[in-house]
Amino acid sequence: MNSTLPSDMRNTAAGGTAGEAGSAEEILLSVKDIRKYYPVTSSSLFPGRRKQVHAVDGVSFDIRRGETLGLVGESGCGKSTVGRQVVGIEQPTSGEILFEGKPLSGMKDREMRRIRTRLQMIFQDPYAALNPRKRVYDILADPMLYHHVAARSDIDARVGQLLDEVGLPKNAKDRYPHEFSGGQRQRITIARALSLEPQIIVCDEPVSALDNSIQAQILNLLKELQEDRGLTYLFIAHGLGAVHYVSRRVAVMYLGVIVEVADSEDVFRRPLHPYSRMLISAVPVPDPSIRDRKVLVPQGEVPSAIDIPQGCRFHDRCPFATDRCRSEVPVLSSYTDSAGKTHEVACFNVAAAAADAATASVAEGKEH
Amino acid sequence: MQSSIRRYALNDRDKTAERAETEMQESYLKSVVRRFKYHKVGYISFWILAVIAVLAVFAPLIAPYDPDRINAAFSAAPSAKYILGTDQVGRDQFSRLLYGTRVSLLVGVLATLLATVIGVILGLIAGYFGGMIDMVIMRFTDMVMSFPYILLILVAATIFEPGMWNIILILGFVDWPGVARLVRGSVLEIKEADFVHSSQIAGMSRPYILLSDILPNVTAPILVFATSVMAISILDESALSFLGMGVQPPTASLGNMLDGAQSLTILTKMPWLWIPPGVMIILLVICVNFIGDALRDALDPTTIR
Repeated sequence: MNSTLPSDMRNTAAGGTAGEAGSAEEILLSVKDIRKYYPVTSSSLFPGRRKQVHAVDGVSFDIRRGETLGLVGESGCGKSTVGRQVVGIEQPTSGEILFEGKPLSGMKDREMRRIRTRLQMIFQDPYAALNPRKRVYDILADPMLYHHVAARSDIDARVGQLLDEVGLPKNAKDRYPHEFSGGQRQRITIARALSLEPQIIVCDEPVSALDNSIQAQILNLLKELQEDRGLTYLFIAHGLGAVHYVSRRVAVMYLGVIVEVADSEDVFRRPLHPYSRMLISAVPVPDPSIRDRKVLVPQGEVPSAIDIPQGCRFHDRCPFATDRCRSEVPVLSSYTDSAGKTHEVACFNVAAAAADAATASVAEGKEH
Repeated sequence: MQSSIRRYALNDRDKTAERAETEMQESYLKSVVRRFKYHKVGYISFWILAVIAVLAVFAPLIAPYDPDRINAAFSAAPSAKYILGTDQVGRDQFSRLLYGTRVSLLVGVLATLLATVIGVILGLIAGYFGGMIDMVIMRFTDMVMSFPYILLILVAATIFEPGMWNIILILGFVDWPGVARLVRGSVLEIKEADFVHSSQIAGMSRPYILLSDILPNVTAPILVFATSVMAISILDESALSFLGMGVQPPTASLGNMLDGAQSLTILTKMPWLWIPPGVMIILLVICVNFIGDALRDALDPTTIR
């Protein structure tokens, strides 16, 4: 499994596993059992029982100050909805989000909106994320003026400073978003997110819309900014390489729930949940010598989020499913992998899956 | 390492961005003007309308006679003295045409302005706030739209005194539903855009989001739609005045100048009494519509020329 990861992306999360400086262990954001159900509008004239899309179905996690939590999963698993709930664009159907120990409610009153500015977001599509009718200057200056982050007399300097920080020339402020390329626009959205001096930035697929060389630049910029400013990231992506590169811990989502949480390196090297294994083995490796490696492909399709399967959500696609999986819902509990690292996994058959993984890696080793 | 990354940022634009950049060096307004000119018919229409508007605005300076004064024989044919002849009570037809155009344009512009303001406000509120507010506003809009509005106007005209200002108010209050629907639709689309979300995340107030993020992005369709409202207003004013419920004589309007065309003798024997105002109405409406067409192309940034 090791060989499935490009070598240059492997080194970074090292050291992240052992506890970092003591102060970094403070929990900054705590998500407690959030759910988001969307009503399905029935097209029939006489709707029967109202159906709901279970986009997010009980997700909990903590993010410590200064760390990056990666949230991965395939399209439609609810990872973006989690991010949108954290920043308050959407309200959870139930559950609670605590920021510095205090619950974040809606965005109605100005006080709440001010607290919320501590949580910012970077969007996937830098073309849609910037108002086409505003100059970069106004995009950056308006929120700072509204929240009195900077005095009117300092605002020019602040805008220039922000642009410099994200690697754009000062004269960028007089231009409109359409005058920039995708990577440059993403830098503008990063500058905008930074303008209110946030503590957490939710990065919702920040590099998926960019081409490869620029992806690396943006990821490096995000890492630099994290070091300079002590930022905390919730990094949502389906590009596993990017997640591996920036994250200290990774949570794997499947159909609205988290199925595995562990340190980034452990998840990518020794995934315990069968779904995590399949997700990670699906990453293409630019190495012809392992072209015939065993790639696990789950059977069937992702079930509809309207009719959630009974028991474990993954049971009908899982090679290790037992009767228990079909009736009982597994919860996250601690397991130790072959290297002695702890993973939180929601699965009844971790042992069976691990045994299979061991034989697979032995077989892979023999081929080499 | 930092500086090297930052230097790269200036080189990472791809080819389309490069092309877009040279193209977009000009300001938005300039590129709109350029694309507007490309629409030949619209461009010509713009100048025709401009000339007519100048003539109408400066009617008091240009008109050879007082439009309401009785100068000569009734229904005199065009001559050197009265280039478009005189009407049935002996008023100079050319002077009346200038003043009539003035009234028709004024009615068109002001009624459109009123309808647009009402429609934009209601559409913004309905689209952004949604829910119950949206429901109430849109059902009210449907109601106004479904009402046979010639009837509404006739009733209103009998309750209030018919006259130019009342016509403007009536047309303005009748024409807004289309604008409201258009604005609501655009708002529903734009309020889900990520740049609106980012303003929400930045904790900006609702008035800021509505007026600074959403409204500037719906102005293009509003402008285009307003031109069609203006064309309709000009036509409606003519129709009402023709029916005697609009601008009241002796004040001239294009509609009440056509009044005479109800008589068969005038239609067949005295074309100078109805052809000029008729042609003027057609010209105004066609020009306004073509300008709207050209604006649609010019304001759409995806048309690259």
